[in-house]
Amino acid sequence: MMSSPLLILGVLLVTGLLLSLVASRLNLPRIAAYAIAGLIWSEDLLGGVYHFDISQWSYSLTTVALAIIAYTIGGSVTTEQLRRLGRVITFCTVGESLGAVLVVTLAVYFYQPTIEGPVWVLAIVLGVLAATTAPAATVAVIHQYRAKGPLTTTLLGVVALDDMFGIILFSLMLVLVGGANLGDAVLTSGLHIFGSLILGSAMGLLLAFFGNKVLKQAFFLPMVLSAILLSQGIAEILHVSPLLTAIMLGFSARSVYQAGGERLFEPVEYLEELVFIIFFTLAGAHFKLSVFMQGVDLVIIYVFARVIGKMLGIYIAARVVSAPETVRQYLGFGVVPQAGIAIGLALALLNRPELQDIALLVLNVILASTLIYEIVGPMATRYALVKAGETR
Amino acid sequence: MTEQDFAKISVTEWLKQYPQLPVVVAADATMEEVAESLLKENSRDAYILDEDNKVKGHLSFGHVVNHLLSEHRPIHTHRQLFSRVTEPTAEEIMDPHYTYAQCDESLCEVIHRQLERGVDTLVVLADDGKLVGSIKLRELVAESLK
Repeated sequence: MMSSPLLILGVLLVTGLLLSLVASRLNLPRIAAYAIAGLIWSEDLLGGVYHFDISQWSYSLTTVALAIIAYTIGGSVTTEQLRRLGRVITFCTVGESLGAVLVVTLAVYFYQPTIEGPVWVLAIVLGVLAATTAPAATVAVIHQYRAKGPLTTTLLGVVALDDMFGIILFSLMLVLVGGANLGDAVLTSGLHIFGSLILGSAMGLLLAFFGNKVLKQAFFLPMVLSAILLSQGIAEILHVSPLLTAIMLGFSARSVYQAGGERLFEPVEYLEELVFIIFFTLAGAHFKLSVFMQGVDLVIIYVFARVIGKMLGIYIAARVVSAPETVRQYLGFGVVPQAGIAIGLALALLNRPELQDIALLVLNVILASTLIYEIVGPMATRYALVKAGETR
Repeated sequence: MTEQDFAKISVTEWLKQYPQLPVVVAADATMEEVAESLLKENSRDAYILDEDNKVKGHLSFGHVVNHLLSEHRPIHTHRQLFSRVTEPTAEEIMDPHYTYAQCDESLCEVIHRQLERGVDTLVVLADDGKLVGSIKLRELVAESLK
């Protein structure tokens, strides 16, 4: 068995980077290249031949990588910016996120797939994972067609906001399913959420304080990474949600530090591509044909139910806030893409003892559906922008 | 003019020779307004002042243009996405940790600071923190070539 985590990680990253170079030459999505790189080293292929064991160490890596993403998303917006986003963007985000969560949850639950463990847990987990989108794919299409107009602006706001909303929902879901019973879950979830908010806020205040004292640019990356790692460690010891803590760390640091927050966030934002390579190659390496075959029907249900849920949610929300006609009709097509954050969240399930029975199945379903969305998503976004008359 | 010559000149003496103020913009100015001010004054640095004439923050031309022309960027972070959608004001993107010079310093120290931080127009502050003038890198270079 090849037991060196560094060697395995190195092999995964190098394969991912090499394949992404090939993909860029062929004009193919790079995240598909990362996933295929992981797939090559999965148990059914070369990973089985060389006895790759990633289960022992991938959890720590995923936790840190997800915390970095949660920190940057938490610090991406201020309360003033949230206020300025306006009712249309806020309502449509809540509508499309909750719409996807609800429709996917109900679809999976009523389909009653044959799995070990309760179906309702699988339904809720997949439902919550349906909330996030892929801003990178959306921005790329908007840039390619030089789109401009009310739909474009709303779409940019929605894809930025729903990732934050999705991560918060995911954290709440983990806290809820972790409870022994409903009463216990509600009580402990309140404590976990409150604890995360307090811890994240306190760490954010400290980070902003030191951020104001330090002037040398080179110190910011180590300082921010230290704060993220420390907050994750404390969250683990206190049994509060690490993801909520990281989001709150970013949000409170940005609020206190003010003024764009470039110094506190730009150095970590450079790590985003590395984080996504890690997510996709690890997810690919966890691919298992037997598990995937068990979940093919779930992939189909998830892909369709998520799109229907998002469109339905936006339609209702847009009507409530009297959004412009183009937003009401076409915004749903724009939020189809889904990628890195959903994969990262699915990877985080692997080490949850209460979700052991379904975690690998969920990861395989999300990986397969992400690849489908990577092809269909940009086409749907382009359709929305063209139909709204906002392309040039 | 050599380094030794610059070491002999104080910031106060320099300001007597080249009295000027930096480009100042309102805290609630839009990116278009800041860019227009910078282009009009042919400057790469703008500053925001408070009611006591103290500097609140600094905006570089590159920073402003980055926000102004964000739609030409094919990749956005979440922070850039929110910034693009909500159209930030000058105060929201200014850097509160700006570099500055004080009246009793020598020009030699100031040049080093300007080069290290990549600031073309450096503000000069009095002991009470109020703005008294600015030093332009291009004028220092021009003087050094004499």
